[in-house]
Amino acid sequence: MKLGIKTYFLAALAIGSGLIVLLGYFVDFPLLADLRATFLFWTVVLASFLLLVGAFNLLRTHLRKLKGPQPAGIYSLVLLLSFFATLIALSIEQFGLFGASGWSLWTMRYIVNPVESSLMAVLAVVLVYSLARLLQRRLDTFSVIFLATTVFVLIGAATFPDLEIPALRAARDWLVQVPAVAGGRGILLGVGLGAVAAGLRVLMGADRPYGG
Amino acid sequence: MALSDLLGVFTGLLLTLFVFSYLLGDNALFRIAIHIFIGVVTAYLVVMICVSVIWPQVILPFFSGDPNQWVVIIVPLVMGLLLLTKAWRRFSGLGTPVAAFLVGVGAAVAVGGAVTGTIFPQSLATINLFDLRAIQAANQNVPWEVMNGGIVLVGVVSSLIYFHFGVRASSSGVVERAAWIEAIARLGQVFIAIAFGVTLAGVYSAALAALIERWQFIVNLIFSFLQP
Amino acid sequence: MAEVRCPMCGKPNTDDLEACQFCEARLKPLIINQPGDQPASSQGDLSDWLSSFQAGQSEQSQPAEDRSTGEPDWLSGMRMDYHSSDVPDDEMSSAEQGDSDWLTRLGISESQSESTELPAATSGSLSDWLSDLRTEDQRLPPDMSGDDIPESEIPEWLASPVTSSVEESQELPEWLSGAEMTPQTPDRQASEAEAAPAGDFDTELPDWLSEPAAETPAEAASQTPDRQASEAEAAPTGDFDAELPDWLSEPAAETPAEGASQTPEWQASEREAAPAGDFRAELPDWLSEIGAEPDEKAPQTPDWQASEAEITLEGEFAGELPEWFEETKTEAAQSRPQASDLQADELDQDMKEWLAGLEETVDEDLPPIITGEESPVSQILSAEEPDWLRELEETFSEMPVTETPPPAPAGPFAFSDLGEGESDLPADLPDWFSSSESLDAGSQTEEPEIGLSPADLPGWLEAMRPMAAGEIFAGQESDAPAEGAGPLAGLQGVLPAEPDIAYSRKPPVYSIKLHAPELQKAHAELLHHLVETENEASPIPGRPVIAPQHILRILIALALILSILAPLISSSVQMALPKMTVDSFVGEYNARQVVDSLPSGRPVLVVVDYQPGFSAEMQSAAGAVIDHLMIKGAFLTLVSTTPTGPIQAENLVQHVNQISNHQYRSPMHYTNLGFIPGGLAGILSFVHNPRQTLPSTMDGELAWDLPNLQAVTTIANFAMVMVVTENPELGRAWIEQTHTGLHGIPLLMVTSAQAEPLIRPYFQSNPRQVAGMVSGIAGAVAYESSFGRRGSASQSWSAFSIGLLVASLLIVLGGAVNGTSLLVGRSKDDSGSEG
Repeated sequence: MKLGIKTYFLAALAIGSGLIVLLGYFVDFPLLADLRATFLFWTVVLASFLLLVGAFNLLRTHLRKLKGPQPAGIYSLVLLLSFFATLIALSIEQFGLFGASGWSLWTMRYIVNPVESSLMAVLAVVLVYSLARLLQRRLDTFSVIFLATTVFVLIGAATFPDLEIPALRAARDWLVQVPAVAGGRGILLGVGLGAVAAGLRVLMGADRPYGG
Repeated sequence: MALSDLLGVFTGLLLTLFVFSYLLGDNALFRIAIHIFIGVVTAYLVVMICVSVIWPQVILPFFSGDPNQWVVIIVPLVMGLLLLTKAWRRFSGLGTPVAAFLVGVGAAVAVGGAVTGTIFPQSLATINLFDLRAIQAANQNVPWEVMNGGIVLVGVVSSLIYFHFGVRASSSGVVERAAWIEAIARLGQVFIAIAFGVTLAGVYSAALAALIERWQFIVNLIFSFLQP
Repeated sequence: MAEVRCPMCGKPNTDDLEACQFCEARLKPLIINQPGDQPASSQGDLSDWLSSFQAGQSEQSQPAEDRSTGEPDWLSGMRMDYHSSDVPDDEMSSAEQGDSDWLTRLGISESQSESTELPAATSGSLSDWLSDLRTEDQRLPPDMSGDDIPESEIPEWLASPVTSSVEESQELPEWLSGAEMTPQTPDRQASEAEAAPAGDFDTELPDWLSEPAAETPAEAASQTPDRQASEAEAAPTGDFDAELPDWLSEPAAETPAEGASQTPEWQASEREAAPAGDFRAELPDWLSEIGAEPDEKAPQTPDWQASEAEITLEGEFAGELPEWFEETKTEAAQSRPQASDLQADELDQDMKEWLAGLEETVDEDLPPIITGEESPVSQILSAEEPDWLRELEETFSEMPVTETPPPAPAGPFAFSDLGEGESDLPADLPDWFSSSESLDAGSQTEEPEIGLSPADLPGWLEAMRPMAAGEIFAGQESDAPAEGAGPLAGLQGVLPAEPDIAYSRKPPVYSIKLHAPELQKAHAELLHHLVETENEASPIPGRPVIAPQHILRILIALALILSILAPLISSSVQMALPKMTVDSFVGEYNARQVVDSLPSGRPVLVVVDYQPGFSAEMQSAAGAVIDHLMIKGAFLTLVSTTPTGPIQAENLVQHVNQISNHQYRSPMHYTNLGFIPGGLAGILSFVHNPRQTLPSTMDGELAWDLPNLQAVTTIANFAMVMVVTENPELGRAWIEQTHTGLHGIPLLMVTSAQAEPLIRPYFQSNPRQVAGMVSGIAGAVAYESSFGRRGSASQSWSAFSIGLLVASLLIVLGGAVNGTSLLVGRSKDDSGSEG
C-alpha cells in the first residue's frame, strides 16, 4: 500500500512527540524535561477540548432523536432539559450570580448520588441472583472455585455477634494476600505488557489510530 | 430542614424509587431517571472543564497582559480549535494532526508508566519474595513466607502463561497449545479464578454498601417525618 | 487491384498472387500442359463444341452474375477468366444449337429403363472425345449428338487418340483441363440451369471442379484418366480429395472391398475418397440420385456413366462438371419422383441415337482402353448396368442424405437439372467413362496407361507438386465426416464450416426445467423462505409480567432489604466490629502508621477519583482516613481526574465534617484544585508540574499562593499522597505515574473492596509502591476502630455484615440447589443415553 506524504507527516508527529515524552522517563535532561512538560500541558488543554467535543456530540445526537420516534424522543428531551438546567444553575453559581451557592453540591447530593447509588443497590440484588444461578448454567471446576472463593471471602469479611472465628479470618486473609495477589500480579503484568506492546506499535508507526 | 434540603430529599427519594423499579423490569421511570442523571453529569463535565481548564489556562492568560503567556497558550489554543473540528465530518481532517499528537503522547505515557511503574517493580517484587533477610528483618516465619512466595511465584507465572494464546498445528492437524503450556495455563486459571472471586466479593460489598446507604436514607427520611 | 478470394480459406488476396498469402493455397488453377502443349488458356483451337460451350457460358454469365450475388470471388474470377478467353463469340454462338442437340442426346431421361448402349459405330468418333476425357485438359464436346454428328464435326480431341492428349489438352474443355472456367452450358441447359438457383451452383460447386489452384497444370495435363484413377487409389485422401467432391472421392474409400467387382479403379478410388454424407452435398443431381434411391430395377447404366461419376478430376476440372456428366443417371435414379424440366424421353432417344452413332464410328485403331471390353466405351455400350454404377448406387443408397445436392453446375456439358433419379447421359456410356481414374495431380500413378505415355515432370515441378488430398488426410480417421460444402468440400476431419445444427438436423431441445434432487429443492425452498421473511418482523412472544426469575429476584431483594433494615431500625442487632491487628488488616495497619507519622499542618494531596455510585463505600472508607488526617491537622489538597470528582471531594469533606464533627473549611483547611483532564498525561503533568496543570482552585483563586501550598512545586513536596478510587485502573495509573515522582513520599490507597486484588500487589511489593491501603467497609471499620473513632463505616457495619452473611447464604443455597439439579439432570441424560 502506497503511503502518502500526509501519512508520513502524521506518523512523524505522533512518533516524535511520543519519543520526547517517553525519554523523560529514563533520561533526566533539563531541556528534555521542559519540552516534555510543555507537551504534557498541551495534552491537558487539548483533552479538555476533546471532552467538549464529546459533550457536544452527545447533545447533537439527542437533538436528532427529538425528531425521531416519540418514546426515544421523550427521553432525549428529558436529558436535554436536565442538561441545560444544570448548566445554567452551575454557571450562575460559578459566576456568583444571585448569591447562588451550593447548587452544584445540591445537585450532586440529591440527584447524581441517589441515582448512581440506587443503581449500585440494584446491582447487589442482581449479583446475588446471578451467583445463585451460576452453577445451573455452568458447572465445572473453575466455576466452583470462583464461587467458593466469593462465598468464602464474603463470609470471612463478616463478623458474628459475640463470636469470633480467628481461623476463618486468617484463612480469608491468606486467600486474599497470597493466591489472589498471585493472580492479580499476573494480571497486572499481563496488562502492562499489553500496554507496552500497544504503545510501542504506535510509537513505531505500525498502528495509526489517528488516521492517515 | 431547609426547603432546599427537603426538596432535595424528595427528589432523591423519587429518583431512588425510580431506579429500584428496575427490579420489576425495565420501565419508563427507570429510563427517565437514567436520562436525568446523564444530562446532569454532562453539564457537570462542561462546567468543570470550563472552570478548571478553559477559563484559567486558556482565556485568562490573554487578559493577563503578559505576552509570554500568550506565546505559551497560543499553540494549544490553536490546536484546541482545530480539534473542535472533529465534531463535523466535513472538517474533521483539520483535527487529525492534533489527534496524532495526542495519540503519540498518550502512547508514550502508557508505555513509560507500565514499564517503570508495573513491569519492573512487580517483577522485582516477585523475586524479592524470597529475600530471606527482608523476611527475617520483618520478624516473619521464613518457611511460611518462602512457601507463600513460592505460591505467589507459581501463580504469577502460571497466570501469565494462561494469557499466552499462541498455538500451532499438531501432526494430526489439531490447532492447540502445547501440552505443557496447557497444563500450566490450567493452574494459572485457578489463580485467576481466585482473584476474580475476591473481586466479585468486593463488588458485592460495594453494592451492599450502596444498598444500605439508600435504605438508610429512606429510613432516616421516614423517621424524620415520624418523629416530631 | 482486383481481389481474389482464396478458395481454401476464403480470405481476399490480390489478383496478381498465385498462392494465397494466408494459407498458401493456389489462387489460380493449374493448367497441366504436356511438353509442347500449348497453354490451356489458349482458346484458339477450341472445337466447335467447346466454342459453343463457351458461348453458352458467356450467355449465362450475365444472368449468372446477376444471380450469383453471393458467389465467392474465386468463382467469379473463374467466370471472368473464362470470359476473357479468346473464344470468339461467333464460334460459341454457332455451336449452341449443336451443343444443345448433343447434350440433349446425352441426357438420360427418367423414362429410360434400359441401359443404353453406345452403338459401336459411334465408338470411333466417340472414343476420341471420350478418350480425351482421360486427360485433364480434355474437353468434351458440347454437342455430341451421335448420328447427327458428322465426323467432320467431331472435335479433334474426341477423334484423336488418348496418347495425343497432350496436344489436345489445349482443346480440352476447361473443366477437364483445370482452367478457371465456369462450366458453360448450351442454351437448353442454360435455360434449365436458370431454373436452378445459380447461387447454389456457384457456392456448391464441387471442389474438384472449383479448386484447380491446388494442382499444377503440368501435372494435371500429364495424367491420363487411367493414371489418374490409379493415383486416386494411391492417395484417396490426398490433395486431390481436398478438391474432389465427396461423391467422387468417397466411394473409393468406403467400398474398397467392392473393388473386387468390375468397378474400374478410378471408380473405386472415387468411392473410397468420398465420404458418404458430404458426397450428397456436392453430388450433382444426376449422380446423387444414384445413391439416394437404389433401385434394383435401375437400368444398367453404361459404365461410362458410372465412371463419369467417379472421375476424380483435378483442380482444373473443378467447377466444370460437364453437363453430360451430370446427366449420368441410372434406371434407379429414374424412379425418383423429382421431375426434371428436361424432356426425358427426348433425351433418352437422343442419347440412344448418339451412342448408337458412336458405336458405328468406333475405330478399331483406338487403344484398347477405348475399344476394349474394359474400355469405357464398351461399358457404355454394354447393355448391362455397370458394376461400378451398381456399386455406386448401393453406396449412395447407404449414405444419409444431409443436404439436397445442388443442381448440376451449368457446365459446358451440363444437360439439365434433372433432380434426383434422372440422368441426362445415356445408359450406355463408354466403358472408359466408368474407368476414369482419379485425376490427382499430387500423386503419380505407377500403372502404365495403355496408349498413354506418362508425362515426365521435371524435377522442380515434381517438387512443387502439392500433396494429394489423400496424402494429407491419410492419417485421419476415415469415419470422420467429410465437409459437405464450401471450398473444403469432400475433405474429412476438417473443422465444420457450419455448425452441425445448420444442417438439416433439428436443433436439440433442452428442457429449462431444473432437475434437482429433493434435498436440494428443500434447501432452496428453505433459503427462499428465509430471504422472504428477512424483512418481516417476527412477532415478539408475549412476556409474562411476573416471570419466575422476577419472583426469585424479588425474593432475594426482600431478603436482603429485610436483613439490613433490622439493624438500621433497631439497634438491638449489633455485629462485632472487625479488629485490626498486625496480621489482619495489614494494609490498614500500615496506613494508620503512615498517617500517624505525618507532621501536622503539612499539605496532603487527596485524589478523589470515585464514581457517585460508590460514594457510600468510598465515603465510609475515605472518611476514616480523612478523619484521621483532620485530626492530624493536615492541609487537604483535593484534586480529581474525573469530572464529578471535585464535587465528590467537596461532598466527602462535608460528610466527614458532619460525621466526625470537624470544621474543615476552604481555603483554610483544605483547597479544591479541581479537575485534571487528560487521564494519564494529566496525572503525569500534575506530578511534575502541578502549578501549571492546575493554577487555580475551584473558587477561582490562585491555588499556589496559599500559604500551605507555596512551597509545593512538585508532588514530592506534599507530605503524603492519598488516592481514593474504586477503579483499579485509575489506582494503577496513579501508582505508575507517581512512582518516579514521589521520591519517598508515602502513597496511600483508599480503594473499594473490588479493587483490592489489583492494588494489593503494589502494597505487597518489596520495595513497597503503596505504603498503605484501606479497602472497603471492613477496612474502614478496622481503621476507625484502631484509633477509637466511629464513623459511617462503623455505623453501618452491622447491616453490612448481616448483608454479607445473608448473601452468602443465598448464594450457597442457590448454588446447591441448582448444582444438584444439574447433576441429577446429567445423570439422567447419561443413563438415558446408555440405555
